[in-house]
Formats: sequence, structure tokens, C-alpha cells
Amino acid sequence: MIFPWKYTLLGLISLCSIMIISIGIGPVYISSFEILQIVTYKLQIIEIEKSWPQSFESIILNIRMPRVLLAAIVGLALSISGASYQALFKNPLADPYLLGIASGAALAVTIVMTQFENSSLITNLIPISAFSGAIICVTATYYISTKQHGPTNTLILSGIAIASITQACTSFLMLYSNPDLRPLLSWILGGFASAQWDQILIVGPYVLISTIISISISKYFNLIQLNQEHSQQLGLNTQKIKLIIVINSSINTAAAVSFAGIIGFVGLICPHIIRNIFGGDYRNLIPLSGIFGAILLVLSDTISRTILNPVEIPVGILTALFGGPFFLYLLAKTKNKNY
Amino acid sequence: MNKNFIITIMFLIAVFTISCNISNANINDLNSNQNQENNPTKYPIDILNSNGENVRIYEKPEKMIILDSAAVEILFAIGQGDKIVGTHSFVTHPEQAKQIPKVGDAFSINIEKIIEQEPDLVYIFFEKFADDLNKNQLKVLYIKTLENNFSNISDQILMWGKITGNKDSAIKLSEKFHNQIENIKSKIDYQAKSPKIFIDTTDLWTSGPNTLMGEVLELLNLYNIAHDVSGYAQLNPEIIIDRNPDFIITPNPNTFKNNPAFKEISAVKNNKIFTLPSDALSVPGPRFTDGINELASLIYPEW
Repeated sequence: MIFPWKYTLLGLISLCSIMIISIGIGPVYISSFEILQIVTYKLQIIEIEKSWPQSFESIILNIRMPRVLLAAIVGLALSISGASYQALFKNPLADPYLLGIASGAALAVTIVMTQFENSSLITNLIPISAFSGAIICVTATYYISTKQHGPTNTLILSGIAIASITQACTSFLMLYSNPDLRPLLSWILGGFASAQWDQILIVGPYVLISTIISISISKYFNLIQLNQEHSQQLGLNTQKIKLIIVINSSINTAAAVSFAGIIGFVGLICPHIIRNIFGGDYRNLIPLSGIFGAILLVLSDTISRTILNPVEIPVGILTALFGGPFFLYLLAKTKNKNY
Repeated sequence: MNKNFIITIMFLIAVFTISCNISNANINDLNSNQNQENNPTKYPIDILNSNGENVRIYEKPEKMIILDSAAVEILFAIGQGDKIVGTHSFVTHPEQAKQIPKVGDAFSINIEKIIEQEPDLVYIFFEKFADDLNKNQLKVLYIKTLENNFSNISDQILMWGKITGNKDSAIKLSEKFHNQIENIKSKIDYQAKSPKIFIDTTDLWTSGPNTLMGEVLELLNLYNIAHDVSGYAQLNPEIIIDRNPDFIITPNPNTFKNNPAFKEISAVKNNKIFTLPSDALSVPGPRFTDGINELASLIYPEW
């Protein structure tokens, strides 16, 4: 199996450096020496005298670290599922929104938030409902389109239809339930302001497992680029592979969406940028675009929490601002047709 | 989902729920009338709207559509609630207001339903609907809402007194309002050190000093930790930890209690996280001072 060890390693090193630098940046100034002291103290590597305010410890350990980590996990998950959908549909426009996955998750969370607004269970219900909403919608989309035995377009079109229906329901619920929609709205806009270690413990394993699965089946991604007859002649059960990709990537997306809300653009542009640089081989594309997505979201979140100090801005605005121009530049510069 | 749409809605909600309607209506002839008891309003009257145009009201309105919570509360308080024939769906007070037909909300109005009521005055605080209403030959009074001081609440009360020909009760109500503010002021020791407070409206969204809430905090000698926020915005959680508020007012105390990042904040350590008992502070009408008192009694135990 060909795996881009060199670039993956390079990417992981840059991701780690960017994450460490991001932990050092924030609206409250904490010097790198103090951060180093706090981390050493917490890891109990050597005995040191506590000389920093307790608040710095909370900020570093319980705000910035989970935040940076969650941004990286979500970037990874969205980007890999974006690349998987692009492979699955042989369509460069595919991304986690396409199958109504994100909208399905959003609708389920909206229902929970409007129906159980005073319940203390709400934090536990949100991820579960996002998962179930995503899975229901993706199953519906997939079922409708395979019944038709039509071209890939059928799948995309039914996805768009499901997305429209769920978005309409979300808008309706938003307008006619409770005048105070701010928690819902900031969730829909997406962001990492409320990132916590608990959330990483819940989301991390799903993303890790489905990332490993995606990487290990990435050679089949290349095969399903051929038309169905050709790949079946090679002995590939395309329906089964497609089903694995859909379920796997949907879990990835729902995991990302459940705590970070809807962050657009990452799943669409990261695989493209990587494809333009490294070519269309999915064995490269899956791991590298995952790492690139993580880097992009960590950077965007760092900017979103510092640029308008002391105020937060939605990270989705920045991913679009950041990725958009770069994407356009690459489109204008290269004419790579490896889809 | 369209981001612009969401941001617009967010803005609307911020406008709607917190600073509903503080008018800057021009009430220039009221003081001269103050001494003449039972002197009814001489129609026609002119009210300056927020576009700087005069709205002429020819006779006492008998059927009004009031798309604003505070104005509904004011009208009921001066005994004119029965003249309201339509309102929006977020009106909660007083009890009788719930019977009034709902003809819209913060995002949309039902023009057909409004026309059906044949109103002689439609009051709105959001300009978006003005054109549609004007086109249908309705008398529209539009007063912008993002002004931010207590005297505008009195002005608004007096304006409704003038429009409905109930100046006396309006003057009484506005004097009562003024006295309640003065009474609150007299109970506060402004020399004392201001407790630091964080007002969370949900998800760390908060009000800056140039808002009505900002003015309430100033009145109560409270130090708003969001002192460098303009209008309404989401505060970075790091900043909240760093500025270490003594009190947190929030509709969801669990946001702070359950997040380990906030456990060193003194409000969390000392269990000074409170939820306001009513929505009085979000409707700048006659109940507004009750809201200030509710907040004060959470902060000052001897209140």
C-alpha cells in the first residue's frame, strides 16, 4: 500500500506546531514561559513553584487547549468526509452538506433545543440528536437514489431535496417557537467558544475510528472513480463500498457538527486544494486533506477569537474568507482534471 | 443556510428582546399642559417619527395595532389597553394582552390581518415594515428603538398619553417611573466598590455599556466586565475568566456551573450565578423598574 509517509509526517509536524502556537495566542496575554511552566506543572515532569495566577491555568488548560484540539478534530473530520463524498459522487462539488447530512443534524438539534429548552439534559441530547438526524437524512437520501438505479446525479439531487426540506423545517421551528433563539443561532453559525474536554472525549473516538477506516479503504476510492461496470469487472462490490463510505463519512460529519455547529466550506475546499497540489490519488488525498482541514480550522479559530478582542466572531465566516480566495487562486492557476 | 439571513435574524432578536423600544419622540408641548388638569388633547397632533417626519393624528385613535411589547404595557398602564386591536406574538404582559389578536412577530407581519382590523394607527419599532403598511393607506408611527436611556422610557409614556388623550395618567405614570428610578438611586452607595458583573443573555452574548442594560448596571453601581463591548456581542470565555466577575446573571446557570474552565471565577466559587425571575428587564415599559429591583435584590442582600 502506497501511503504518503513523507508528506503526512510533514503535515502532522506543521499541524502540531500551529496548534502549539495557537495555544499561545489569545485575547488574554500569557507569556510562552508561563505556558511552559503551567504545562510542566500539570504534567508533573519536574517540581516547580506555582508563580502564575490560577486564571491562567484555567485559560490554558480548559479553554485554549480543548478549543484548539476540537478545531483540529472538526477540521479533520469535515475535510475527510468532504473528500470521501467527492470520490463517491465523482463530483467536485460534493461536500458534507450535499446529502442533507449537516441540515439533518441541524434540524434534529433544533427540535431538541426548542422542545427541551429548559431541560438539564440538553447538552447530552444535542450530540445524540445530531447523530440521529444526520443518519436518518443520509439513509433517506441514499435509499431514494438507489431505488432509482439512476446516475450519481440522482443521489445529489435527492440530497439537495432532503436538505431543502430539513432547512425549511428548521427555519419554521426557529421562527415560531421561542423568541430567544440565540443559542440555536450561534450553534448554526458554528464555532468553538464552548469547547470542553468532555466534548473531545465524546467526539474524538468516532472521528479517529472513521478516519482510520477512510484511510484504509482509500485505494477503493480510486477504483470507484471508474464506471460501475469496470470496477465490478475488477471484482469490487461497488454498492457495498459506497455504503461503507456513506455511513463512515456521515458519522464523521455528525461528530463534527454536534459540538462545533455548521462550519461550511472546509469539506469542500480542503480536498480541492490538496488535489491541486498533490494530484487526484485518494491514497494521498484522504490523509493529506484531513491534515490540511485541521490546520485551516485551527488557524481560522485562532483568528476568530483574537481579531475583535474581546468579542468572538463566527468561525464559519473566517473559513470562507480564508479558504475562498486561496481556492480561487488555485482554480485560476491550475487546470488539473483529476476528479 | 444563508449566513446573511441568520445574521439579520440575530440582529433582529438582539434589537427585539433586549432593547425593545426606547423612543426619541418629540414631546415639546407637554410641559405647558402639565398644570391644566383634565385638559384633553387638542387634535390634530403631530408626532415626530424616527425618519424625522411629522405624523399627524387627526383624532383620538380607537383601533390601534401595536407591534411592540413595551408600548402595549404602557397603553394598558394608562388605561388605553382596550384600544389595541392587534399586536405581535411575543407580548406577554399584562394578562389581558394575551386576548388581543396577534398580527405578526419580529420577523414578519400579516398585512392582510392588519388591514382587516381597520386600525387608525399602526405602531412599529422597525422600519422594515413601514413601506408595506404605508402602501396600504395605513397611518404608521415608526419610532426607532436603539436609543438607550431611562428618560426615553418616560418620553414614550408621555407620547402615548398625548396620542390617546390621556395626558394626566401618562404624566402620573411617568412621574412614578421617574420616582422609582430616583428611589433606586437613593438606595445605592456610589462610593462603595462596584461589584463586577457579567450579564449573559445566552451563549456568552452580552450587552455593552452603550445599551439600556449597560445603563441599568451603571445605576446599580455594578462594573460591567463587558465594558469594551459595543452593543451586543459574544464575549470570549478567556476574557470572562480573566476579568473574574463577582456575579453572573444568566438564563442557563449550567453553562457556568458545568464547565470546568469557569470553576475559578469568583461568581462560580461563591455560587453567585443567578437567573432573573421575570422578563421585566427586557421590556422597557412600566415594569422596567421592577426588573431593576429584581436585579438589585439578587446582588444586594439587604435590598
